[in-house]
Amino acid sequence: MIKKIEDWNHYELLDIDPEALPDDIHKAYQRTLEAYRKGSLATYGLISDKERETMLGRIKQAYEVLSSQRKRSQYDAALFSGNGKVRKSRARFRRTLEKVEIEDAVPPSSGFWLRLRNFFRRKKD
Amino acid sequence: MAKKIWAVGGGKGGTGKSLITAGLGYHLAAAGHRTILIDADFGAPNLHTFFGLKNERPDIGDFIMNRAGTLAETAIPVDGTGLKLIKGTENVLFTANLNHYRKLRFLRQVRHIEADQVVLDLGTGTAFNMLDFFLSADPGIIVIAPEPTSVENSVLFLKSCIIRMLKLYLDHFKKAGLQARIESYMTNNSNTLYGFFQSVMEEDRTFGLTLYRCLKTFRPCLIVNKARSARDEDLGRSLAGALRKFLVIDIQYLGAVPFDGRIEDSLRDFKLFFSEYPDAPASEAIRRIASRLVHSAEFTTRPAPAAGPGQTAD
Repeated sequence: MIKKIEDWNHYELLDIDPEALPDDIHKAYQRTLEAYRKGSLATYGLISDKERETMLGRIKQAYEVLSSQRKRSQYDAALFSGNGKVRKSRARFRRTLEKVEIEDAVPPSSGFWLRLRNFFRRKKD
Repeated sequence: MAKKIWAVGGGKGGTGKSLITAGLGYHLAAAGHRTILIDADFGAPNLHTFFGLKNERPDIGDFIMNRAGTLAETAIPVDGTGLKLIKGTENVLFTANLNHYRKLRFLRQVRHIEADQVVLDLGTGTAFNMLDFFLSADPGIIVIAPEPTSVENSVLFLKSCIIRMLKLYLDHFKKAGLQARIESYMTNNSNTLYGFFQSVMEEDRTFGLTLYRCLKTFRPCLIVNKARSARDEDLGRSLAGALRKFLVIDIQYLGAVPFDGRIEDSLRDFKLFFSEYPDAPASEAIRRIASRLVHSAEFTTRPAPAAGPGQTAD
């Protein structure tokens, strides 16, 4: 669902798997920090200054926890504590509904133009 | 294999969309797929130039102006490549601004054309026709260059796609309340799009769920062109990650295509770069991207519907 920045877990923040190795965590931290720093090209025109500030704080907090083996174990235990809401490994496949095609959308006008559209729809291209 | 329709677009000009389209088409045809490229840049067509062809008829204008009965009749084979090309028209005054019904006719023809792979080369900007062509593809591919102007315009393009898609979705499912909120956002625009999503979620969870389910139907891909360093490659990964978070869309980073000065030389000589330099890093990169799009299960399987109301989704 659409979560608040504060509700993203540390793995989601750094875009890594929960099984990531310490080296991968460090690289992800550097990459994410670079992406959200002021003046970064990756987030140019995408987020507000306030959102950027919040993200940087959360990224540093995430790295502080995940870079310590003890803190990470405690964090993992709390995160995957069996209430069924968080899955350990995220499926890479996309999950979606059937999309609404442009042709099925409401046409720009109704009344006369709707009758005209329906008349042409009966003809085969 | 079911036919795949790809659209290569993005808000900014000069990022290399036509080059990527030509490259994808070339490598798909070389891999044995029946491939048709369509130059859907009605305002400034030049896909034919990458293949060293002149802009002569038949072209897409023949179909638009009813001189050809079907779109397939305007396809011409490209020598030495095994693919077919539907060229853009020089008659830009009458085709650059397709009305709604001509656009639907064009899209229907694209869906019915006989081919394994159809690749549309889209124009620049965020006009409704460009957005609709991009939204009709599965997947739409955004091409950016590692420059602030390109990144900014691509974000704007994606936001425009989202707003357009939300409007179509809400018109179709008659969600008048949420539609009014989106129209209000479009006129006020004081929030970032993410802030807007958050406010909807907080005020009405049902609306928020509708918004979420709609956003999950939009699954574009991202390519970084003219990459000169590892930093440019990382830009694509970082940008895709930020877009997944802040636009709540399932965007996939396909990879980076290295800058190669020989591309411009080939273009000046009216030769196809990919056949002249098949082992160049840029050729290899596009071949890998084409292979991934065709063979990866991520793009070939149709996933199950998302969770219903009351259940947590990804």
